[in-house]
Amino acid sequence: MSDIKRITKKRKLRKDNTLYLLLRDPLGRAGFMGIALIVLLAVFAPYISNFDVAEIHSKDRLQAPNSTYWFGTDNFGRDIFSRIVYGARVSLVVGIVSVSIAAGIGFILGIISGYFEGRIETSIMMVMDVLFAFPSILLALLIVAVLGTSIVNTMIAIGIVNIPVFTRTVRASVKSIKSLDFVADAKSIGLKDRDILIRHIAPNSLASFIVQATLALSSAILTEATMSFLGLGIRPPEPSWGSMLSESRAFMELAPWMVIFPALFIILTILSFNILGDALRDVLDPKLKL
Amino acid sequence: MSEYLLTVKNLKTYFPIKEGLIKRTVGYVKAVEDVSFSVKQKQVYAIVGESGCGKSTAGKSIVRLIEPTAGEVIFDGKTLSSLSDEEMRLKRRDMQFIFQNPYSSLNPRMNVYQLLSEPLKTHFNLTENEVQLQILEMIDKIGITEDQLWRYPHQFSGGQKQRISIARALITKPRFVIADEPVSALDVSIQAQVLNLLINLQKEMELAMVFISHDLNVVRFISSEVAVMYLGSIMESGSTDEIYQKPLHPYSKALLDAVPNIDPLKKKRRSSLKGEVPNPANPPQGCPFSPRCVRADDICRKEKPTLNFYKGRNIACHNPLE
Amino acid sequence: MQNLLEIKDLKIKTLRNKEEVMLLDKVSLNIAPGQCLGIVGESGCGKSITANALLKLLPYPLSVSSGKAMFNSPSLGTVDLLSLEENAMRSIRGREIAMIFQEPMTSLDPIFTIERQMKEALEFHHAHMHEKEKHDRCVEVLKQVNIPRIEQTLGSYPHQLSGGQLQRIMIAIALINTPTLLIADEPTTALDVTIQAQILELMNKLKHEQNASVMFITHDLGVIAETSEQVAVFYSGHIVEEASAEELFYRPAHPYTEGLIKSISSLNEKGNQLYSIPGNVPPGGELKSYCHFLDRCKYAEDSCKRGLPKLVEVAPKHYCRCFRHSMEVEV
Repeated sequence: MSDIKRITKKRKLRKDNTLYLLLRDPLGRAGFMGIALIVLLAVFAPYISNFDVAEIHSKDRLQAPNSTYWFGTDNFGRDIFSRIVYGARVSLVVGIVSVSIAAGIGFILGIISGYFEGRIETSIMMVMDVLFAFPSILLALLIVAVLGTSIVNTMIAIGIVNIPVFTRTVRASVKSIKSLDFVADAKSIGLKDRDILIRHIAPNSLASFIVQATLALSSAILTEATMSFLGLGIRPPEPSWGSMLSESRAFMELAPWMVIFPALFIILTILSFNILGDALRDVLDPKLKL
Repeated sequence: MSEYLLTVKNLKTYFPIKEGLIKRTVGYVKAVEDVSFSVKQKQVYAIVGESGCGKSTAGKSIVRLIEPTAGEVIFDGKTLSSLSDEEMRLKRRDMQFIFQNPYSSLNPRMNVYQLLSEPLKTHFNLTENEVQLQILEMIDKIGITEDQLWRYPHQFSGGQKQRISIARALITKPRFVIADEPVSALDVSIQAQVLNLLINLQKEMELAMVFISHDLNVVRFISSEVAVMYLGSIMESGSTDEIYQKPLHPYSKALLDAVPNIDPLKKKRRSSLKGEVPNPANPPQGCPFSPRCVRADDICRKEKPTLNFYKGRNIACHNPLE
Repeated sequence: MQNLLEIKDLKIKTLRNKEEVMLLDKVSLNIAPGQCLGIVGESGCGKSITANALLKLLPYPLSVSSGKAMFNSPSLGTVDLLSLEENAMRSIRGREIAMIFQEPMTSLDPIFTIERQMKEALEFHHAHMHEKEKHDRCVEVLKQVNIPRIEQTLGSYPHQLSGGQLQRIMIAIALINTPTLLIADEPTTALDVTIQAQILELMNKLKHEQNASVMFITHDLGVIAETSEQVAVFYSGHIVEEASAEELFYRPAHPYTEGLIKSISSLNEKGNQLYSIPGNVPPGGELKSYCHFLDRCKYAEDSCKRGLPKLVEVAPKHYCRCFRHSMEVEV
């Protein structure tokens, strides 16, 4: 029997590794590097930034990028580079926490409504449809308006707004997988419902779920930026890319760098997540594993 | 204990047709209208018919993969419809099902080892070592090597996949298996290999088997008894050899005549069957075969014939062939 | 040119992971007027792509890398189909060469009536035909393919008809412009035996009535025996044997053909075991430098590895690619 044990180890092939496959793909590599850059910025923010984010240099207002202020300064004379670096923290935390809320609740609801048909499904989907019908930004604003403006409430709001997308994706894939022969086969083998769900249906719907999660991350970051831009997200002087954009409105012609840099980082982050999502979709196809 | 392992009595499976917003049932597709037959221990019993005749639905209804509408299935002295879901689940250890298409019946995210260990772990309380021993024994029979155990279904050819799927069904050592067109998704040169394997395992494990197929050649080779189905009902059933030599039902005869012959000198076509299989949601009155039958008369169009014992076999026909 | 179609050294390649892979090589075939050529082979052997290449219907990334297909076109004279411009090809496709596909259910558009789709096939090549004339032509061809209740059928949508009827309509659409060559790609595979028998009978009848040539592609030797005069056996991207149907079934020369015929006829004998060809069907695009059937061949010897055997005439008009019959190696 030692033979089998030896072969068991052979499974951990490099080619079997999702990360390896992802990095082999040029698009996947690009997305991964973009996100790695943002994560590094966020983690090492205190070491990278030159100034305190709230530190006002009244003499150096609206300075163009130079050797002291790499990305220039804003209308209060705050260093834009430092604010961008700290803003990365806000964006990532908001993105990850809110998507976790949405994905967690959405996955459970999706599995339940997809596997058990009938009244449960109808009522879950009814709530989701109503939630879906609201323009998401309006809904998020509404939730924040009720709960009050704070970073935690922003995350909760964005999370709730994203639940229906996950429920729908997961439910759709559960439903299509449920009708496949291998699920009928699992039933004919004599598996319990629970095992069919965990071993056969859930793993096969995971791919679309993970891809959805990366895409939702970018949309969550965008929503946070939009809400901050509208003044309902992160409270000043706490920096967030969205609020930085918002504050730059009046100075767009005078100091375009106030707009350009936050916008650039928002675009970079969202693009990276989207590219990563696309690459993940390909990589998670079991047919690629050799 | 009777000599029969499985007895199917008047099995019916209807699918409701629903219409409108509130999903009102407006009618039924009578996929299986009236099916009765018995399978002895170690016997291969074939169900043959064209697509849409309900043979596959009948097979699935027998093992309750689809819940039958009416009728009785007695397996090993127990009526299956009286079992609770959990009792039925445990019973599946003894009665397995082999699907037609191995490309879709194997979970793409499980390797061969996982696929074969799953049934064992579900039904038996075995140590990992015992599981491995049984798997090794099984893959030896189906011609899969030890290092292929960690491969995933897409890395195998169609024939190998179907062998894996047969192994998955037979690894719990069932006494009865339903094989639903197990070779029709495979390439011609591969079909014979898989059929040989299935027959060898059936003999070795002393399995009773219901073999569902549309391929008359394969049915003749594999089965000792056969039921010919048309539009949800059995038209004729009995010894395979006798029916193939001298079909008594006009439909059995038409079906046998339609099989292409590989002898190019016998190219000339026999009078082939006219018309098409009617829609099972709206079956014809009387004998389901009457609209296409050359021997049909008034009684055939009015009254549905029942399956009766006639000249050593069962036949549902008012005007059987001589 | 005596033949209607002469394919010479057709070679088809594809791209796999940015590398060129050969799918089909050294395929040469002739079809005489009024003849039915059967092409038989298993999935991935290259039989369907041969047909698609003739009509320039190869899906990306497949492409023809070399070869000629000389076609005796009634309107254009003798042309090479493979180098024909798209405009000229359009006047041939559907009019002079028509194709019938395997799945009648997906080959017709679900949102248009049968009449509309049949007229469309006419319109393209006969733009100035009157509505009445078109209608009459539709009725005429539907009659030929034995469709009952023609007017009702013309007004139906595809989902209202059965598979057998749809395949008849596909054949009717193929015949509507009286083509000189009909390519049928597994036309009965999706159908039941009794319906298959009807369709085969119909195709044989039409072949005689219209004197059209047919290229009949199938995996079923039984169907070949019922329809074809000449047969080419494909295996893994090559023709391994070509002969008249009679010659092929009674005196198969290639071990693969022999195995196929044996495994089918052993079904008719009560016995414990079926005759079977060992091994698996090779996946498409694995052209090796030696005989492709080597791994599955019961006659295989070490010396078979010396190269790819040449397709040689082993009996009058009977060609085979095997070292058992000739030592010649393909260069």
